[in-house]
Amino acid sequence: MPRRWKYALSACLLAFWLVPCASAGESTAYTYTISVNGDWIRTQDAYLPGHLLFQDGTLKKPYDLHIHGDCLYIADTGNGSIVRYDLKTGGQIRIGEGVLKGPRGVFVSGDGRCYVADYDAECVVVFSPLLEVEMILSRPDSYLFSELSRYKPTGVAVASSGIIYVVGEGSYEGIMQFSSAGEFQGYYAANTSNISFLQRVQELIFSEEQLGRLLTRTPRAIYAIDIDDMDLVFSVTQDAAVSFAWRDAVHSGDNNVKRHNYAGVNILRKNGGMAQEWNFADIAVGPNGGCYALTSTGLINEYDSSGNLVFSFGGRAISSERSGLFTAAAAIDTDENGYLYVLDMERGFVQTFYPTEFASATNTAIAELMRGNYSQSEQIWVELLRLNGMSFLAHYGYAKCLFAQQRFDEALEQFRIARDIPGYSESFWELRDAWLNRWIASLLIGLTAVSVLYWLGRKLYRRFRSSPPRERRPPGGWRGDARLLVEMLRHPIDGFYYIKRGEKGSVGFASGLYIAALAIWFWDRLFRGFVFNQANIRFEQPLTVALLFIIPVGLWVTGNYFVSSINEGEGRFRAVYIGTAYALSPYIILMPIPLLLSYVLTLNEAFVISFSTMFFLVWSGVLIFISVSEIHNYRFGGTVKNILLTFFFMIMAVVIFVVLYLIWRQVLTFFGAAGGEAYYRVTDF
Amino acid sequence: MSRIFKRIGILIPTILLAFCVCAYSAGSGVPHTRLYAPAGGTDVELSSVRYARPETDTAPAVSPVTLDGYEMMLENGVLSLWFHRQTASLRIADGRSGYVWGCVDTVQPKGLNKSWYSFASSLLSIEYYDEKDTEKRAGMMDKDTECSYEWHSDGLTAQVAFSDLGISMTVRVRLEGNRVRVSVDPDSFQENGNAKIKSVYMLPFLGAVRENALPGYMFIPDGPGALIRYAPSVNYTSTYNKRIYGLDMGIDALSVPSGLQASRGDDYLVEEPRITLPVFGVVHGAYQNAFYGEVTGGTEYASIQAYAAGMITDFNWVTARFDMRQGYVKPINRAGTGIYMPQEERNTVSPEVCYTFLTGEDADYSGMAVSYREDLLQRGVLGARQTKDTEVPLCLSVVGSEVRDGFWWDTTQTLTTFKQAAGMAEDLAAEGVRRLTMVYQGWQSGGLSRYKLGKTSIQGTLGNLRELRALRDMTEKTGSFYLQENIVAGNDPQVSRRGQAAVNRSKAYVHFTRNDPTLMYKDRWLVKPAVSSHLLRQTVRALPDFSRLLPEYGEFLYSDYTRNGETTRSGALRLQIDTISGAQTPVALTNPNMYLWPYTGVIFQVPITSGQYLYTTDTVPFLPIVISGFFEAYAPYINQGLYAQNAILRLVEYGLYPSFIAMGADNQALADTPLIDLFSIHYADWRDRIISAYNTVSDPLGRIRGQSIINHRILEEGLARIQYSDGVTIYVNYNARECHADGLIIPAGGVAVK
Repeated sequence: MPRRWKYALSACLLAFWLVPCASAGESTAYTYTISVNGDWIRTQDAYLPGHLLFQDGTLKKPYDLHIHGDCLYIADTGNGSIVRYDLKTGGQIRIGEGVLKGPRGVFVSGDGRCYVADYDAECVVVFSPLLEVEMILSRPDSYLFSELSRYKPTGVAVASSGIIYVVGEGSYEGIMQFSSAGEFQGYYAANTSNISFLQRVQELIFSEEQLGRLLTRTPRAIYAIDIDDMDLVFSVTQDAAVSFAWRDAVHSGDNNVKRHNYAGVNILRKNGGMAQEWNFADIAVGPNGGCYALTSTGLINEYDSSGNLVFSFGGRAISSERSGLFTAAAAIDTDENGYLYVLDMERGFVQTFYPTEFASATNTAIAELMRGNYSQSEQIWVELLRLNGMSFLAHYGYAKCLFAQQRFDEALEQFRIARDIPGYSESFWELRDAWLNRWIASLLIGLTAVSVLYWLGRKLYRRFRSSPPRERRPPGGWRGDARLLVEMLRHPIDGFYYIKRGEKGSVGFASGLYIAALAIWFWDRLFRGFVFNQANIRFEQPLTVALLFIIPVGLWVTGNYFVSSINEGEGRFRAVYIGTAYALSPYIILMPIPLLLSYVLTLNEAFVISFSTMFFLVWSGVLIFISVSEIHNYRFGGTVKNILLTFFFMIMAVVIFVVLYLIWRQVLTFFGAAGGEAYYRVTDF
Repeated sequence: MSRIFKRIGILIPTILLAFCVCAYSAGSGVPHTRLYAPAGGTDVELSSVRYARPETDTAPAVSPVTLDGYEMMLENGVLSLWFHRQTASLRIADGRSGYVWGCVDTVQPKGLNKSWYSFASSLLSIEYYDEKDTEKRAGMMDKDTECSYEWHSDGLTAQVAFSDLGISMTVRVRLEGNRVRVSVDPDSFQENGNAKIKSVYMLPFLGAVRENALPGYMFIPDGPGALIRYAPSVNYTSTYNKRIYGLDMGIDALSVPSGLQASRGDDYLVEEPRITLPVFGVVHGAYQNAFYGEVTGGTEYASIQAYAAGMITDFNWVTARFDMRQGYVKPINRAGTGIYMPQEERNTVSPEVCYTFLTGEDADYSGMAVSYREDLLQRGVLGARQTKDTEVPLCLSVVGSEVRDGFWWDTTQTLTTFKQAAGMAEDLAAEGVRRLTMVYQGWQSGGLSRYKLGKTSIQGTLGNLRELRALRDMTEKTGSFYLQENIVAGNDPQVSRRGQAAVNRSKAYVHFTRNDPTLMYKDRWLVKPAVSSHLLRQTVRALPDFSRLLPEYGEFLYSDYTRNGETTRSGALRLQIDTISGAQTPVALTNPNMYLWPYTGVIFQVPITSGQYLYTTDTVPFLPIVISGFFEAYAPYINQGLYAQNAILRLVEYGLYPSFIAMGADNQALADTPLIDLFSIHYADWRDRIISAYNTVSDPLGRIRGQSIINHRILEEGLARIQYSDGVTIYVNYNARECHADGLIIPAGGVAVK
């Protein structure tokens, strides 16, 4: 997912200039793709604006367009008719004058029938190939269609079998499905509704009346659809509460671009991570199944059949009217040449786009990869990498090619660059598999030999040593402290007891333990093996990572001491400090094992990492519990109480800090502004 | 202790074995399959605004105005001036063709109200601020306007007094061969009332055409040049209204709405081209009648405005506007809150427009450009002609180093060492590029986006000064070498805001902002004009033996309102001229404004694309025609979107040399640097394309080095013919089919030379 999600921009007017820069493609807006870091990145022009159609003002508030053969059909909503425009001759005729009231969707099936979704007349009108009215689909009179349901058709698509799919304003139940004879057959592919935690709580405690007063929790209605040669339906959905709260709306968990299988289930990036917008207005299937989604602000996103973003281009006409930009984009479709036709509802024109060599090459590479022509595909991917070496898709596609050709070491490197963990993991698995196949016998023999030698050596040493073993005295100093660390794993209760009595452990060594734990924390957060490393070092601030460790630990130690000192706790601050450090011993001693394993395991063995990590953390947690119990001499109940109170202290400390910080910031801002104003008045600028 | 180690000893082999078993049991995935969209053709492309169209309508143009009611006042054998006292309007009759030029009909035309009619037909119209600072318009036909006329042997002097406003001035019209020069005497401006003059128009509707009443077009200097062909009215929402030499960042309003409302930044728009040439033109019937107007006085305060039919009126009209004052936000506190009000004092402007009338074959954009070039040559604006040899230069702009956003701290990423750059030069020379123009950027310590402006210490990881000099010497044996140095704008670490940044009239530091939160540096600060001059002197003093490329210098012309150190736009213009003319080393510039042309022979980044406004219909090579033969002119970087065959052909059509940006490091080195937008500049990736592009252009461009274009014509859609002064003709065919012209076969997507 693009990182920029986190930085959603303000919709208000912002003062900015377009920065002059040396790069100069031929378009009026830059083309973007997703970089290997997951960011939006500029790339070579993919589609360039061609000529304009209908600049003469023929169209009035048109809502939809559809291409069939050489003809462009436009739902000329304001004029209450469909315009059929011949792309070769430029001739045009109007369809449905006097019949249609407010057509908002148009579709022409393979047999030449023209289907029109009439929003104002609340019906779908079917015109025969001779352009005569053949059928009118009015509001369904079916037990499947609720009386409360709205029937305001805005879009229509027809499968090769004759099934008619209709989307309508407020039809949250899904896409309405009619038989070729016009019989309502039910709904298809409804969106689901996301219920937040707060809403779940509300449902538990609110009365029905109160719930009725809340905003609707119905799912979002599908906004527009298109259908491909395989009769799979593509749909776009806009986020709810769009108008001013679009920044929040962006965070909707569900996909806004979907491709539905015959059961209506989305098959496009179901796990999320789709680069998408909140305000898609239309979707078009490309000639070979590619999909173009258009936003009302004129952005056009091209996706491949897996839902990966290929290109994003176009944009909004801001303060000037230029080719390739839109005031209010409404509809998009493609013709068999791969040209795009985009309708501007506000201006009433159609802007054409044509693919550049770059876009054509990208699409060809994807197609060849899909067909299994890996060597041809590979050549194009290499060329595409030359044209944009930072593109995720190019590295990913190239890696897929290499992987399919069993060139796993090269594929591994490409997957690593593309930061594609599943691909990297699979390539690594293959490489490791080959390595193991080659070395496993030697490895096992070696291990066995070392074990046997060690065992023999020990035996021989014990038998032939010259003097009896010296009686070991417990080591003192840092050695003793280190020994205590290991002892903690076996006999924690004894260990904490000695710490409490001050017999073992020192502040200096405990401080060293904290530093060691912090180092392992850094390792864990940032430097795991690639397959298990979710962090992107680019965006991690070292200080933030450190504070995530230091603040909780610091608050715990001080909080625990303060809480216990007023709750009959026996431990001194020194003991709490040292005890907490030693409680981290499983984390310090054992955590490096899964961390080291993260370099050699793959996603298939992810359980080993996640389980062992969790196990060592829980172990440390248990030791902390014991440390509280032993150091302060609490029973079980007292320990729980002490821990809960310590947590409370920690939370309150954070809250108080935040409140004080806010107050002080206000004060400082005030004095800063006053001082600045005075400075502004008296000094030269 | 030993038991623990023993257990660990058992644990490790166990884990190892376990993961071996897991590894064996797990399978690997299958690649996804994906679909694609096929390539497009060229028909939609060639009918786009980025190409010029052939002249299909050759019907004789009938002038929309007549001489009825007009009295002939002057004649010089080529042109005659006719005057209509009641409407205070002029007609210009071309004796060579008999064509009559004027503004609008003597009778109030349909669709123009009285105010607009007065504005349109007058010799002089003004806009002013009334006592409430509201903008209003007045013309010479208004009832409160008093005019007196005095005719001389070569022209007219008119005293114009807008008596109710208390504003008066003197207008002069002079007849000079095929030119008419109209000016306002700068000393004659008087403001004795509450009204404040805002701007002045002279003959604003000269050559105006109602919708598509006749074939032809208006020419605007948008990028290389653009045409607005006459067409029926369309309800446009904006006009072409641009300041000559770009915005004055010291005063112009900078607010632009950001409304993409998307997950990516709002910096998605390609910058609109500036006006670098103060010209505009009108054609009534291509190859029949035309004129072009050049703003010859008050240029830095002038704008060119073009209205396509449907924008306010049904007329197509183009003119120059001279701003005596303009509105700005006057701050009332430090936070920037302010009130919008007009400038108190008037700019020192001497408005003058010279109209040159053309007939016959010269009456098109090409004829205008050729005529304009000859005029510039006579005035000394164009310097020496380029050498007529056959060695076509190729520009390779090399990026040395750049700042990198680091985990702990920012570092400097080495992108191309001096030795690597030398290797590139040798490699290209071996492939036949004998004349290499190398530009080295990012050579300063800290990297391209972090070095302190004016510093000349070399980034140590690139090499030392001796190696840099060796690189220069090697390149200059057959080509040229420029150190790139920005003296105009810099990022936060590069500019000391308090001491160096320019201040606008609203008392804010002048800066560009890219509305994109993921950028390393979002703001760039423009330095004061005087600081720019100082920076150049300082760096040339430190490294006097290197030629310089000064990007952005001469592209921006802005006033500076630093308290007690104000520089006007005119002052900044003079300062730029003095700085460049006084530079102690050869200087090259990137698409500079015309006033700096006399001081450089090398221009980089010559635009090849117009702004592509909806009302424009063609992009034409006006600027390339004007500079052809006199400048070593390079196109923008080909590897930034212009590598397609048709873009390379455009270089041949426009007579521009190819230019690439490159680095020695792999593209991955661009990650986490401000250069991420360049996405692909690794030399090894582009080497073959550089050589291929060079081979495509070197033969045709080699034959016309040092020659000027004398005619440019589109013979049919996608087929351009360019004739040069020494008789060479180049044909460029953008079509996907071969074309025939003048007995030649021009291959599909190819070039022919005759």
